[in-house]
Amino acid sequence: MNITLTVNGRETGLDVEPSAILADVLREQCRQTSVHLGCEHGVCGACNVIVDGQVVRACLTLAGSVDGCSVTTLEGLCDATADRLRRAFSEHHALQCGFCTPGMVVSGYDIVRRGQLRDEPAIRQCLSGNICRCTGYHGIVAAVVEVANEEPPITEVQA
Amino acid sequence: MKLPPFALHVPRTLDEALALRAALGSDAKVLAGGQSLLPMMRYRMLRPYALIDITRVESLARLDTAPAVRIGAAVTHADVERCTQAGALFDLLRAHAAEIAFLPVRGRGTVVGSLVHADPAGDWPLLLTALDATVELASLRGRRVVGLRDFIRGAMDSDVQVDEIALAAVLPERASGLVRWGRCKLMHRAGEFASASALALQGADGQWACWLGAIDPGPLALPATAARLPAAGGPTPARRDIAASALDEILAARPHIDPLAASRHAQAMARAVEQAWQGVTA
Repeated sequence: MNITLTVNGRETGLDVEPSAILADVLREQCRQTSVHLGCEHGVCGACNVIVDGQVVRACLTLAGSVDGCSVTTLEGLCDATADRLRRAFSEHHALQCGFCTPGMVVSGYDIVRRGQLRDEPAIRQCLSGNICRCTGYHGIVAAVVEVANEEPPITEVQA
Repeated sequence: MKLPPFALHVPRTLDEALALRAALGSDAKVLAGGQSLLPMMRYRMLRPYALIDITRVESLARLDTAPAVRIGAAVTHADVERCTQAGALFDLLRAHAAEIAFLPVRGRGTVVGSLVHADPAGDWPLLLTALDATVELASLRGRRVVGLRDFIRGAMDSDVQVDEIALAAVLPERASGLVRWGRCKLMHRAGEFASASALALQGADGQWACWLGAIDPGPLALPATAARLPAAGGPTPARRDIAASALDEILAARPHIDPLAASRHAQAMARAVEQAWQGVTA
């Protein structure tokens, strides 16, 4: 089936299998390989992407179901908030092997952008949908908490 | 595992969706978020030859709050969580939605989908059964309304005919008069399926209802425990008394239950009552 996705701001026409999963399409046809597939049943969060402003599991979303939608992967997070988050991840040693990192950054970006969660327990709970097998949760939570409690950056964040 | 091949239909109108449902019959499953259906297909527990994605049908995405709450089939858990309506009932609906799985799952998983799925550990079967909701169904043959307590026939078994689509869950108007509520969901890890889940609800008439979820084959009412709760308030009932009463009722209703699970459910019930007394509404 033919679908159109706006992937990281670029409108892309794609010919996909009806059973194609968004994560596979993003990786293999759009070459956005930050979308990692860990568990492939919605538990690990490594494939988290933003579809029309909402974080979803790309492994539990059919490509054909999001025809016409705007999809943002880690590659598309290039505003000031995302840069600040990347720096905080680096400063807090919030990654080790890096497999979970794209999903963590996408989830963290969503938390910062929504601006509703600021305290550590709430952010930790919200990030519980992302699994880090290196168990580096303290650094990851600390990085997101730090950025979530800063003044909003001057640059407008992406929709 | 990767998904096996299947056809995907994404109708934009209800008429189109119902026509597809009638034409494809038992070969097809309705996809309404897919946060349970797609994992089951990955595990090969289900193998439909076609999916009908109803989430792009605009009329199904409505969440009405007055005069009665009506939750359309494409309304997600996150939609309920973000609903801004004031009142005890909506505080309860929001708190209940916010504790389902994880945010990215809540953004796609739907309330009505969870009722049709009828997982005993599901959150909506418990709450909407306790609130005595009804389910609206449609097919080319016509429409019907069925009480949720009859709709869920057992574990993973709901009363949807092969040509039907569940359109909405509707709460009775009296549910809007909810006075106090308490809930307690026990999970081994945040976002996992509940190992015990309890609700204590006080309606406008002062009467209490106590319900347990995450118990086979479906939600269980504890009328004797509810009858112990005074309508007028007063001091918090002793946790030990509530737990003991709940345990008696659970063992009577489910004699073959694992004793440890029974005690977990009883403790959850006692905590839910405690929360209702504290008047915690968020």
